Amino acid sequence: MVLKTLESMGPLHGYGIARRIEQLSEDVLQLNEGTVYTSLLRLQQQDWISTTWGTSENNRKAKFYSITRAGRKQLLKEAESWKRISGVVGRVLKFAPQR
Amino acid sequence: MLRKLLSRIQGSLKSNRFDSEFSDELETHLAQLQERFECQGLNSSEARYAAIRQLGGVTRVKETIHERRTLPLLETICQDANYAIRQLRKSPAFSMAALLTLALGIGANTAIFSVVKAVLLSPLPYRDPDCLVMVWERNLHRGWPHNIVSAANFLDWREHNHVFTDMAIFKTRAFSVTGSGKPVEVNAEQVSPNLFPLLGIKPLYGRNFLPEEGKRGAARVAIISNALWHGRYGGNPKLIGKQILLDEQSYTVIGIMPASFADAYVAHGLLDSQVWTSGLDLSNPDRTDHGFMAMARLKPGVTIQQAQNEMDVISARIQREDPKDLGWTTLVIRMHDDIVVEARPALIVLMIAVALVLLIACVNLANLLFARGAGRVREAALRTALGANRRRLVRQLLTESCLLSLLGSGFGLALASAAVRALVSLAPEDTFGIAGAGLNLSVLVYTLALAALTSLLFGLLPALSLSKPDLIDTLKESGRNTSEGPRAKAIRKVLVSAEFAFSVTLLVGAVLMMKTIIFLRDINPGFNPNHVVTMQLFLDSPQYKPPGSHVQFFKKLLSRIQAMPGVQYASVSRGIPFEGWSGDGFVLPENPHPPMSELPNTNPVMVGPQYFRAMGIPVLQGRGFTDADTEGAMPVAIVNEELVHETWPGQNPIGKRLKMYGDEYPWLTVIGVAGNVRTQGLNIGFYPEIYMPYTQYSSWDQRPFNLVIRTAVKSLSIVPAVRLSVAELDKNLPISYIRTMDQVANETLSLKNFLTMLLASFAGLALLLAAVGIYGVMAYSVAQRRQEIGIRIALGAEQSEIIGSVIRQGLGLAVAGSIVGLAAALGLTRFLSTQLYGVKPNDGFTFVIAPVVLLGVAFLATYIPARRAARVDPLVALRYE
Repeated sequence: MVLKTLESMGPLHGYGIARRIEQLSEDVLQLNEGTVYTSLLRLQQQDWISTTWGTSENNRKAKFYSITRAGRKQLLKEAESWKRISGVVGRVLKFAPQR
Repeated sequence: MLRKLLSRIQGSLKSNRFDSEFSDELETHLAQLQERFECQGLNSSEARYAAIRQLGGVTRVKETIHERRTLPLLETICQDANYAIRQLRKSPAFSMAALLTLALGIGANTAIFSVVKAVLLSPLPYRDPDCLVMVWERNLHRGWPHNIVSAANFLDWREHNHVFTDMAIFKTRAFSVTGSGKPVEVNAEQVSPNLFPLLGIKPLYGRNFLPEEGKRGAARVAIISNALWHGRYGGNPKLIGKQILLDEQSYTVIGIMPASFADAYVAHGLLDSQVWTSGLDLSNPDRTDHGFMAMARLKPGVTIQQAQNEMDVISARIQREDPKDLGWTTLVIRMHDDIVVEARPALIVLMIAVALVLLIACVNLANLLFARGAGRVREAALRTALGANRRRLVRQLLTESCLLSLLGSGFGLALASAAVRALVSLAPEDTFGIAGAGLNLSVLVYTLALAALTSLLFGLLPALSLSKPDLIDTLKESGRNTSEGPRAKAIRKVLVSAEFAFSVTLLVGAVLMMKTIIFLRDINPGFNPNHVVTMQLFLDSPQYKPPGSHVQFFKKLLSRIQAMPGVQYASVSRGIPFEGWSGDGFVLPENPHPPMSELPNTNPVMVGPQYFRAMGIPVLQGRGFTDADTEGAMPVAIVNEELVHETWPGQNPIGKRLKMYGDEYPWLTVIGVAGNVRTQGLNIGFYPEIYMPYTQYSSWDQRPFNLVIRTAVKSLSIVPAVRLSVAELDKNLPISYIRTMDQVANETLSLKNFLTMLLASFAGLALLLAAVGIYGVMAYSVAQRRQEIGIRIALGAEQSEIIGSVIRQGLGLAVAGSIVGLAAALGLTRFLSTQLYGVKPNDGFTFVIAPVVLLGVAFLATYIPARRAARVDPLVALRYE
């Protein structure tokens, strides 16, 4: 999700990512915003995202995260596998005997 | 996975910068959230709280991120190690004692292991050494389990076997190397041309022997050792193709061995060869003429047992075809096993001994840690109360013991490097591979593994016991009075008893070996080795080819030596006691053609007149040889008591007749009886022997080569004069193996001396450690019982009662340990049994003296704290209340 956000929105800081996820999930996913940083760290350790320091919209020092080539590749892979799984689940649900 | 680990390690290294960066980042995030909430109408402090809520707690997020980014395990280890170092520095006395104990224990183990590695575990330096075997002949009926082989049998084996890719044969000999410099006598081997290819060895320069060079009468060629090449020929590769003089005959050098070439047969007491020649004479059809050594390479997939079976079949057929060979079978043995046959049991014993020393060291340390742990119960309780879990506490304590044992092994390695050098110089010189012993990588790995194991051994028990403190009681009690619980006390007692058990086991081993050595030293070898010097002279050069020439030479030489001041008797012989036994059959006039299996054995020795006086062998009956026993006179013999005892029991042997088995030997008349000599070694019984005067066999090539000189002065002091006399007669004749007979006798004991010395020092070390251990426990227990003892004294207890009670307690532990130790010793001494002589592995005296010595030490070690206890001033002791 974080990867997808970064892919579509370009470099973002942690706050921005949190807002974007909040917006996208339409408040279905209520999470501690701190956990964003946990996943960001994980992605960093996998080299799927990189970071730079910059200034935020209201002139604060902020760390910007952007997706790397490896990250894009991973995103494609995950999207594929998600599609496949959701497809399978969908089909299973479709053919499940109706009560 | 790896990338994650790497990034985590990186994270750990730059931990502080990341942490502060992340704080900044979070702060920005918070500020933005706060602004947003402010926009929604909250006031600034409400907005701040809301922001923190939304984020999920600033500190928690920080901690989670920190933990995920770095290696928490590594951090705690670093933290623990740091703390451990502080702890160790805080109590230097404890640390020094612990480190010293560990260094001794680990150092001893490392040193012995490096020898074991070099001797037992290193493959022989040949190609595919596991496929190399030695093939020996054996005659179990006659008590010869491991005998050199006959050429005729070897040729049959080589032709008929299907189990070996190839078989090679060789025999040892000596050469005088002359020309260009001082004449020297060197050991040499005559080998079949395929011997080096069979081993997989190529010369450094030049080439191996060609098959046609193996034939008798082929051009004389030689391969020389690296040492001889450097020592005598200046290490010039142009030596290849040049001529050198061996026994006054010229040989063409065709190869020079690499320095790394180790002649495996150093192991059999046949000292390292410097020269190899080809052209072995294998034409003797007599299967009883044993004079060679044979090696072979197993075909791939063939086992030793299969090879042995095949050889059994072949030797059974040979025995059927040739009755002279009856009773002779073969022994196929892996070359490495053959070489370490003596060293292996000794090294196994030493491994057990050092393992025991290390165990004692561990127990001692565990005890020290317990004692210290008692003082740290409060610390542990406080930590637990503050929320440390048990695992964390144990980890902390184990880190301390790990650190100790790592430091200890560091010192241990330093000790070991010195000890290995000492071991190498003390070990019997002919121990194969021992020169390669040293601190190499595998030894280091072993030491590290040992350190880890050790730290667990001595650290785990105290750590476990300490990490389960009784919170309430401990924290309630005032600091001074904390005492260990009954469980910890019991464990400490068991540990001290265990220490004594290990020590007693070691001590038993050491005492058994010492008894063996004393027994062997006391054995009368049958001759008097004091003030006798012996040296070797080989009359092999062409000038001694004419019959009788060697007799003339020795006569001249001996009369010169005899005339020297300080010389009492001088003689010659072929072989000296402990060296050079040759088994041969002899026959009597009553039964001149006995079947081979009934042929009595003897060791024929060629000697000169005065030999018995020079060697100090008593002539019990009849006369010794004189100058009148010459070629034309009646052939005479002197036999030993054992032969008389076996052949003519209760009869007067003088005037009896006998002869060596074989048509070429003359009938001999017995003119004297000599005392028995332990020809084959101090721990081996007597064999029948026949002495013959060399002066009656001028045309034989079985010539004497040992000079035997008895002196009134220090025997080695006459060597220069003897050298001079020899050089006057033949300036090209080298003299070798100049030794006193005392040295010769000692060499036969060298392995046992080595083992005894090491076992004794390990036992001493064990005793010392055990003494320290029991002292520590008793001193601690006395300190704990101060008040109790104070009260007793105040109530009127005598000093002697107090001392008695403390000593009883200490000795009780020692006795319990000794009993267990003696039981263990009964089981373990069988590993030692091959090294024992004159003493049984369950020797009663030893099993009494070892615990007595130990109890004496225990008594001394408990007496000091007991005295201290008795001197407790009741006023001072009770004031603590």
